[in-house]
Amino acid sequence: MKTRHLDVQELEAPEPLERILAELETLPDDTLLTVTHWREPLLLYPLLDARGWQYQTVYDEQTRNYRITIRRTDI
Amino acid sequence: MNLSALSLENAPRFWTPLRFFISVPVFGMLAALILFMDGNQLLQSRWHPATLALTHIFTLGYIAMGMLGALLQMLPVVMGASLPRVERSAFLMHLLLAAGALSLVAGFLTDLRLLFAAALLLLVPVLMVFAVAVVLAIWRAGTAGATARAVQIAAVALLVTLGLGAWLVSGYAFEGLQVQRSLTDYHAAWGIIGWILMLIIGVSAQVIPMFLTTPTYPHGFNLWLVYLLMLMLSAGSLLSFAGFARTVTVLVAVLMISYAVVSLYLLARRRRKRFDVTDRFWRLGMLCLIGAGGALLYDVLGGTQMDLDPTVLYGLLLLAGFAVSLINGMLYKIVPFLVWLNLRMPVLKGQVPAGTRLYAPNIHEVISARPMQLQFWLHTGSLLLLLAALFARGLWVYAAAALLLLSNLLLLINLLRAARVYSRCCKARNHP
Repeated sequence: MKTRHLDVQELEAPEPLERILAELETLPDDTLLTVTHWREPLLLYPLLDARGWQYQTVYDEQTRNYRITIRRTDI
Repeated sequence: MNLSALSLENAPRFWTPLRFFISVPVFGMLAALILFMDGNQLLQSRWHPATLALTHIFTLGYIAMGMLGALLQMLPVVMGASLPRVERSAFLMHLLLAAGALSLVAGFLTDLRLLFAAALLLLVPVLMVFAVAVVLAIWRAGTAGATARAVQIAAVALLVTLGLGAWLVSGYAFEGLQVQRSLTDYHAAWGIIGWILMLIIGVSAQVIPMFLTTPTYPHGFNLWLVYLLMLMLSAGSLLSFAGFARTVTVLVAVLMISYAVVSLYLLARRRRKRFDVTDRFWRLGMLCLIGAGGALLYDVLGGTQMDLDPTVLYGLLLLAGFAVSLINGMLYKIVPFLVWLNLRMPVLKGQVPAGTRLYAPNIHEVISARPMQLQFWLHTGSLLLLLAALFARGLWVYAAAALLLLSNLLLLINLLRAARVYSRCCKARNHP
């Protein structure tokens, strides 16, 4: 499966949310989106739920970043 | 974390937190009027009735009003916790807090027992219910984050502050009730160091990187600061042996200065270098915190006695300088963010067909930069003049009051402009 990556660590709120949603609008079915963020994007989850996206968040202790993987079908 | 608790439906609507935010500068203007009325006298002693009135206009009308409004919005969005029946609760909370603050302030100014009793009746339930609800909401949401934990601890400090404050006010409200006025020191310490400072330390770990694109605070730094401050406050309140209070004061001052220095270091490393008025407000607030810590150390470590009540200086730097500057700065981020969030809500919730264009202003366009900058300078000027009035007396205090009045009037106008942007966009979309 192809992967697209988005790093939103340096963006000011609410740009991370806007960028992720904009990216998802053009994301092909066979591609997953990985996002790197310094905080857990709590506001994003219900929006992904409402749109039927699957997502998984992993916290990296070393980099102190969250990595969110989003895709259209079941992971 | 229990994500089912987190939903955009749980986030309060635009006008719910805005009521709190619009009230903030109104109380700021009232503070200026009290300064006009009592002038120099008020800065001589913390026991002067007008000084007590001014202090509580800032702590309840300005600071608590801003913090409650912000927490109502932040709990669901940042911490995944929400208060039950948030719309109705918020309406009542705002009403009781505003009426309670006014009663207490009027009580100090007139010395009428009835007003103190009214303040007790209005403030105790609202602040107690709020603090308990915050602790429970975060606990129920299962949020283990440092910010949520810090907010919980600050809410506990608010309960202690409230308990002590209610007891002290009872002494004014009920004839014959003997109240130890020395408890005022504990009430002030739990309110300023506990509730205000600990809450700001906790919340800043999220909002500084989020809105000002700074690097994050060192891992665990904010929560450890909160734990240590809570330990100091508890130990200082419960234990009393020779020299202990002095040691606690020195440690608290060092923690305050450490937090301010680290925050200033982070603010100097913002990833986006463009001028941001909130950044200026935060820097000013942190400088005031360093000033307050320095003044505490100077006093405790035996500096030369000055011809002023040092507690008035601490109060000025910590409340009017530190907390008010930070809240003022945050209003310029939170209110435009709310305008954006509420106008984008239909798109965010997927309520409109994909590809539908719904205009929502960029958050930097909601309030113009120039009036915000002007307001920052008016605020800075009023602070400098208040300090001048404290040391030099004379007419400085009236100049400070004039600038404080203008600063808060302009803040009110700026916030109302943001509300107008929201209303116009809603009307244009034919929203109710």
